[in-house]
Amino acid sequence: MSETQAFKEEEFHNESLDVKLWKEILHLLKPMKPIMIKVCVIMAVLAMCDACYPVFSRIAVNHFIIEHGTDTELGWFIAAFAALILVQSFLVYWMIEYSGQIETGFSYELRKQLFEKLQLLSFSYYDKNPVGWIMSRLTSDINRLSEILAWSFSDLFWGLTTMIVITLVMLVTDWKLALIVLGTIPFLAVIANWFEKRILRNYRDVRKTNSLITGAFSEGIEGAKTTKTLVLEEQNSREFRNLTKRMRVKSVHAGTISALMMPTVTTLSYIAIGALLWQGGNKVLLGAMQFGTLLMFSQYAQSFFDPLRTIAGLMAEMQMAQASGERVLSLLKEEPKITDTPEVIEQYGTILNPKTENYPEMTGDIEFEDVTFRYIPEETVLDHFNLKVKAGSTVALVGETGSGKSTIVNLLCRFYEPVEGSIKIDGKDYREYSVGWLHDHLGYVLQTPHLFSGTVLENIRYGRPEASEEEVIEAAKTVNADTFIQKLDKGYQTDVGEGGNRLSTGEKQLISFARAVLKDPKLLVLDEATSSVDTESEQKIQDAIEVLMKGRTSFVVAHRLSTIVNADLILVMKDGKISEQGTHAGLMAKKGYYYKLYTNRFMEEENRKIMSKKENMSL
Amino acid sequence: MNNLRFLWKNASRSIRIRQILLIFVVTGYVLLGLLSPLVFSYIIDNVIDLQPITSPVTQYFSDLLGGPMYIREHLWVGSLVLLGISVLYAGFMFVRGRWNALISESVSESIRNRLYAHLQMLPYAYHVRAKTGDLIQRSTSDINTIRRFLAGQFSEMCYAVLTSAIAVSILFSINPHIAWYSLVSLPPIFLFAFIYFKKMHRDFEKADEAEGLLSAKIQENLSGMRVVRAFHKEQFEIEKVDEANRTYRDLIHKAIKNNAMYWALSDLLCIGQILLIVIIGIFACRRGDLSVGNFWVFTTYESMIVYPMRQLGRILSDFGKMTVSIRRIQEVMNEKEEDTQTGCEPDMRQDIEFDHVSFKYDDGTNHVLEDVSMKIPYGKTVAIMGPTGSGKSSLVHLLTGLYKPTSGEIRVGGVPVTRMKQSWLRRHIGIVLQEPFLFSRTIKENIRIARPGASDEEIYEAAKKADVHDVIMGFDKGYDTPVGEKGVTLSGGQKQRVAIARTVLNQSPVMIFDDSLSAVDTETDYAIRESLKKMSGSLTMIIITQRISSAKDADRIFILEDGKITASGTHEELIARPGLYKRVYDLQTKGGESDE
Repeated sequence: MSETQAFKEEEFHNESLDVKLWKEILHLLKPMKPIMIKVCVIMAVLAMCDACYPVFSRIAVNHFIIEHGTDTELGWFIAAFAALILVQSFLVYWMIEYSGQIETGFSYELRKQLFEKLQLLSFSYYDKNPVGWIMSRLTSDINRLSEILAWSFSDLFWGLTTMIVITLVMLVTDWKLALIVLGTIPFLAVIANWFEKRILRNYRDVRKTNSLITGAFSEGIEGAKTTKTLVLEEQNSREFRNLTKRMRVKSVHAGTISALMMPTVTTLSYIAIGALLWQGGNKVLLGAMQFGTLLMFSQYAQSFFDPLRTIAGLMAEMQMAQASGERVLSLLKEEPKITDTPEVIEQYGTILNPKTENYPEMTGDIEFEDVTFRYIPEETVLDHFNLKVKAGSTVALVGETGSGKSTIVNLLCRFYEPVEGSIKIDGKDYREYSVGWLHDHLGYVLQTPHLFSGTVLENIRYGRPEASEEEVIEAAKTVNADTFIQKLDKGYQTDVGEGGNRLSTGEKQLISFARAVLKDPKLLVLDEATSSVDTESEQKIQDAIEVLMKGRTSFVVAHRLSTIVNADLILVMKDGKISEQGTHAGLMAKKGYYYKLYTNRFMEEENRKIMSKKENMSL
Repeated sequence: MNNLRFLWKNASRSIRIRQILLIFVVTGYVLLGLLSPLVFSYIIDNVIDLQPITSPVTQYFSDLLGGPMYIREHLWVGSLVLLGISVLYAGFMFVRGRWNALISESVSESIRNRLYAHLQMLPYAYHVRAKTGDLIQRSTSDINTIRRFLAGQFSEMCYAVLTSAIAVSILFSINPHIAWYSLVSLPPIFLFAFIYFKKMHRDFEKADEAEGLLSAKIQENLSGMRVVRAFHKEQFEIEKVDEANRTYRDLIHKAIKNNAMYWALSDLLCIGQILLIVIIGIFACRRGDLSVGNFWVFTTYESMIVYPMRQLGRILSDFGKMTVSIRRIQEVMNEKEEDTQTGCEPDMRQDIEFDHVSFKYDDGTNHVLEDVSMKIPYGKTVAIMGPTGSGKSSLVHLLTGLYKPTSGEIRVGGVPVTRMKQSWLRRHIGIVLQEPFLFSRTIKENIRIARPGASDEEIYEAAKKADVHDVIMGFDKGYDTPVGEKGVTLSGGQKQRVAIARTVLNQSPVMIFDDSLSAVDTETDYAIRESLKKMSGSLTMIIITQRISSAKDADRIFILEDGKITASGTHEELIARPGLYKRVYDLQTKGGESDE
């Protein structure tokens, strides 16, 4: 996954700074403004403290060693020095603490906003953006952005203040010597800029190669069995060695460039120090200056590079974080495609703040009236489709994978809306109700059951948090889930693990049934699983499905023959269209596509029964 | 010590020499760094202040440059000396930095290569058991920890120790009474850094855990978005994630607070120590015990010692991480490799014979295969049918030497497979796994991997035989379509067919299909077997399947149930007597008539 991310990061990479983008990002920081100002002030004062130390050495040498200042003065000097250290320590503490507040507060707030947005975005957004891709916006992108905003901007203040204060102190003390030191600044600036750019670029190169190595390792490990059977061990190792060699060459190159920076800077500052010693030393000999001053200048000569480097680094880092900023902002600006009209919201509230007291009961009559639908403009999936379903009856959707069965479900659940025509619930276009109302009356069972980490109890209660424990157990019993749940080591309090992965697929399925039953919806959407479970569970699931559908309007994406045969209406889907519809008997008599599908399915199911009887013994 | 030996073993000769020389380079670097304050001091005390020179070493160098009086007239000489020293100093600094990179990168390259090659050579059984995520972590972040240690921490440690040792001895030679004071805070600084850094590390670990939980919650929400929406639980999810988000924020904030405490307090200690030496120095100067130049040497040296000492504490408290990493890598390296290179290389175009073969896994109690005997004549097609878990796949694993039989023997042309060179054996027995692994490169490269010398035409030919040529041509980039993460996602059936093409290209005399046509439809299954049959006569085919349609054309069909062969014969023979095969067959005929 990391490789894909690195790959996509590059697509967004942009060399120039996008001022508008950063303005927008800074705008997001507005609630943090008071604390940001505090940090900047602290940084400036800290810079002054830093600049004070050489002044103290100067005073120590000039006034107390050479001129023998009085003991009282010395007392004050020591007290001032000690105070300076104390102040600096406090400032360091507050600087880090405040910056930390900005970093954590900003990332918290941003993540919260993005997550809320994600709860409202339509499914068309999720179709376009894979989960891993969204995840990286909520984790690494946010982290990078808040890090740079919290630490780098205040560094800028530190850098600028340091330079200004030092320059002033030097100019006031001796402007000729000051010019010697200041003369190095342009060179230092060029060096800082040159190196910072290259170091960051090299670093990125190395990281890319590193992610290739990680990829190779994971492929080498995951594909080890295939490697063995094809005898590819040596070939793979050879290719891997090429990769690590490339990594070494690139890293050493990057390391060499980095290793070159400080020596260059040191040499440059020593040129200044040499010149200071020569010019300043002569002044001392003439009695025009004291040692301490000379020493102070030599210390200052080495203090300009750090701030310059910080400033150069900030530019480079902002360029790198820009892509993160773009991605985060684009998600923030994304608008949900499916929303309720203001009138509906007025009456029923929003998704996050529903007025459930206004929600009408649902009877469960469904009507697709002249519905046309397409996911993408070029391709019509449903064309003037009509369907009338009476409350309480069962509709089975049959067809091969990708034949469009889920489109009907998607429309019914209002994950998508018809492009033309309307879907009516109890005789009224469902857009005249709120999305929240529909979902409150909907039971939905996925093909691959999805549980949330937490206990079995919490998972069943998901749709009705106020349900009592007895009700939960009752629901579990009706779908045959109670027996196995009781056998788990902590019963209903057993933790199901992330995504429910501590349970088997069959168990997860039963729990998701119980979850739907407990909610007692008027409208049920059931996506049957294709994958086989052992015969015993299969029977349980079949029974459970029957219970589940009783007394509700049910739409089932059906794979089980029993479900199909018992349905009140069968819709046979082919290539995104409805090719046949009717009851089982009627469709079989037609000997058409359904007939073929059914016989194949029948054989497969029976064959599977014979072949899977040893399922629980498999490795 | 064991750890250092591990690193040493992974360094080439030139790197070892460099590593030793690096210590000298760091020494030179330290010495030159300590020299310039001395030059300053000389110029202040002896040249400008004209005090008598006390140290013979200083006297020697002073004479060499023409004596204090000469330098007094020509101060630029002093400047040049200082510049000369700094250029040398810069040179050493550069060499140190470059060598750090060279050494750490070479050693990690070597560890990576050895680990990778080792993983490739570990037996099949190891990879079946192995936890992929854990192994990847060992191969990446653990190696990285070692690399970081070598890339800077090692020479940083040398630097800290050498600087303090040399600087302190120079200070003692100048004035032992005052020198004592320069040491006062060093132990507390070191200890403080050591202990506090450990604490901070724990804080960050906790925060990392919380971050993991938060990510898991978000991930769970995103992948279960349909459930969330259908149950109208958006608000609930927002609150749930908000709680995790807040926990993470508070933990990381706490870690940062501690971090702030660390820097503030350690700064206080470090600068406090400098203040101490300044005060003591001033008093000594005023008493006449110390010259101005030496006062300068004391204060500069002090700041050159305290910060590395703090750094040393941090590095040492981090040291444990490296030992753990090395141990984790060694654990993998100590696993025994499979020997695929020794053994005989017999003619493989021969009959295969299972002779009373039984097998159970090392950690298993039940036999997976029990007393299996069968003969597969060269050039014939054999099908093995049986329910899931009946031991079909184990049969294949034994034949290809991926596991060894517990008892009994498998022979090809009379030679037991266990005596053969395993790479030879596997090169001649092509096997297509049920869930084949495709490497993340182009389709063409994935097929060619089986025989690197194959021409494009041969690859197309193999793909046609596997009935996947047209599918591939249907992709925008045809055979150059990348597979996997960055490329197209192939369906299960397409993957299986690419894997078949790969095995076909290998031209092995024996081919095994381990349920590897399960994800393609019956018609394609048939077409593939037909085109492969054209190769037969020169090809022994073993088809493992649950489908009667795939089995029925075989020359002989073996029925495997519970690890035992319960029946064998041709299709006609098997449908003539009761048993699993007949039951499945009947079902099929009945299915055809099931229109009520």
